[in-house]
Amino acid sequence: MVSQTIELRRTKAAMLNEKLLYRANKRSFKNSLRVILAYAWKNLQNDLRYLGSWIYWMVVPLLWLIPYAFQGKALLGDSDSSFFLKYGGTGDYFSYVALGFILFNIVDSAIWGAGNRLRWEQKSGTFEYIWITPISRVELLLGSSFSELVWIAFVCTTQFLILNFALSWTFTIIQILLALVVIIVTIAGLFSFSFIFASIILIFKEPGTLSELTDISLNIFLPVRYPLRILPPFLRWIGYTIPFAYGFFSIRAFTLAREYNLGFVWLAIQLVLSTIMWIVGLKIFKRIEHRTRKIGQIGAY
Amino acid sequence: MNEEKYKTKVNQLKCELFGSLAVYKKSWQVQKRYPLAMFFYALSPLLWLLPHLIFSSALVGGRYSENLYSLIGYGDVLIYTSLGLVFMAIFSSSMWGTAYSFRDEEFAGTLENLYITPISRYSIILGKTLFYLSQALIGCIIQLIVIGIWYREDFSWTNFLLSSVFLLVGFLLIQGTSLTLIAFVFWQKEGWKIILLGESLILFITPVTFPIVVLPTLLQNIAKFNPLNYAIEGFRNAFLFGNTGSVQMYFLILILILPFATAVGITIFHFAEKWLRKKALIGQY
Repeated sequence: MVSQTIELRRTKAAMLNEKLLYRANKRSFKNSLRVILAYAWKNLQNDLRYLGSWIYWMVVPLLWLIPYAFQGKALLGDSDSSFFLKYGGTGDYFSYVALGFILFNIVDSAIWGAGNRLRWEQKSGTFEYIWITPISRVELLLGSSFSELVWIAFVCTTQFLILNFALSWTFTIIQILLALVVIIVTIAGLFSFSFIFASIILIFKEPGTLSELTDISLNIFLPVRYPLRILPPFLRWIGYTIPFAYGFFSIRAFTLAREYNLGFVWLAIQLVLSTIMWIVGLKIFKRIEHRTRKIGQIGAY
Repeated sequence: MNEEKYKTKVNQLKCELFGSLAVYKKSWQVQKRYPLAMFFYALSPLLWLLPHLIFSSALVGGRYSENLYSLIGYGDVLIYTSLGLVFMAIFSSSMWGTAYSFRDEEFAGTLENLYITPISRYSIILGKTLFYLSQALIGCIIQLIVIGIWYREDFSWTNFLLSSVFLLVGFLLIQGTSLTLIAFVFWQKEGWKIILLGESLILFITPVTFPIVVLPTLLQNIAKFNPLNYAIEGFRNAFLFGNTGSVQMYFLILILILPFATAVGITIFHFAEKWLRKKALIGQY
């Protein structure tokens, strides 16, 4: 009699569990959005505990810009470079580098922030708890990228406004709005890059060296400090395949060069490449996550 | 009796040196377990150099700057910039590495074991410093080979050896700063943001990619108190122009600063470590 009661209770509990799991796993846009926002809010709450860090990353990269002004003064003795004008669309090399630095924050954030988020969860000892919640892993990644979006949009916009004031840029409201559109599209591209990077972290676990290598390589292949056209052809074409490069092209076309049509073309190419990278990034992540779980390495430290 | 004391001292010194070498060997053994990281450290100095050099070349549209020539009497932007960056790379990597050497042991959970070994803390630091220096030197050699190829027409071994003396003095000079930073990291645990901010500010008044004469007068005056200024200018001028009056002057200034900087570093580390031990904060995560 007792064993029958226990068995009945077990069956009821199993049914309830299944029902709950079914409800939790029931996919709808609203559910997914709730999960993404919940995870993003959790990350943002963590980040907001370190307000000094927000100010720090807003100001310090701007300090790294100053030696470029002195270098230009030493090598040219002028604020305009004819070579930059010929290949970069503007002779004002300092503004060129300043805009490059602002956009590179997004690339940095994709590598060190969103891409490394899973590793930070592991280090905090919360990775397994998050991983066994009945939600899609992709939603987790989107959540971490979304929190990065808020943080990096804040950093980029404030840096843009500070430099606009300090360098007396005479941009119109439309130019500024277009620059913000470029920043947002580039940040959307960041999501796809962070999928690929998160996959790498699932395999290598401690990706410090790889992150640094990627960071340094992107500094060479992307037009952060100089126009891509001056690179040797084989290096230039590597740069052209990276979606972020078109963000650099379009923001400069909209602001410094004032070539709006060209700016929209670059923006469109960036959107197409980012979409391809999204699809590829998601596929890679799903496959690697499955493989890592299969070989029992998901929680390995 | 005196001879006995002398022998004991020599033996103690030998033991300390063996201790340093053991720390050095251990650090390399750990590093060898990460071949990807080793490959990166060998390649990164060159990769790090590239965007700066391409930018310099993009500014002037080639390799030669008339403006630079009128300022310092030398116009090759690639050689000028890369020599400054080579020095800065070796300075930066050995300074950061040494500053975080004890913190890394803390992360690995081996600090306490290392700390109770019967050798001086300075011997441990020396071992760690030697490891980071040798790692930085691999990159430095690769960079110098590339510069040597660019500069092959005017390359002089005498100038190269003379500039190496500046590298050595510069490295010894870093030790004072590194000891201060070890004390700071020991105290703050995660003080890298402050160190990075300090390094970013020092770069304004350090002639890595530009001569000091292009700075505003106020910054030029502040730069006179920056020892790195003399080390980099000495290293670069020795490499490019050989044994000139200004090179001798830079060397003299550095030799005068060296004991002072080291004494300040040792004093700060000594008192900070003593205070932290008293407060039982050494092993705290």
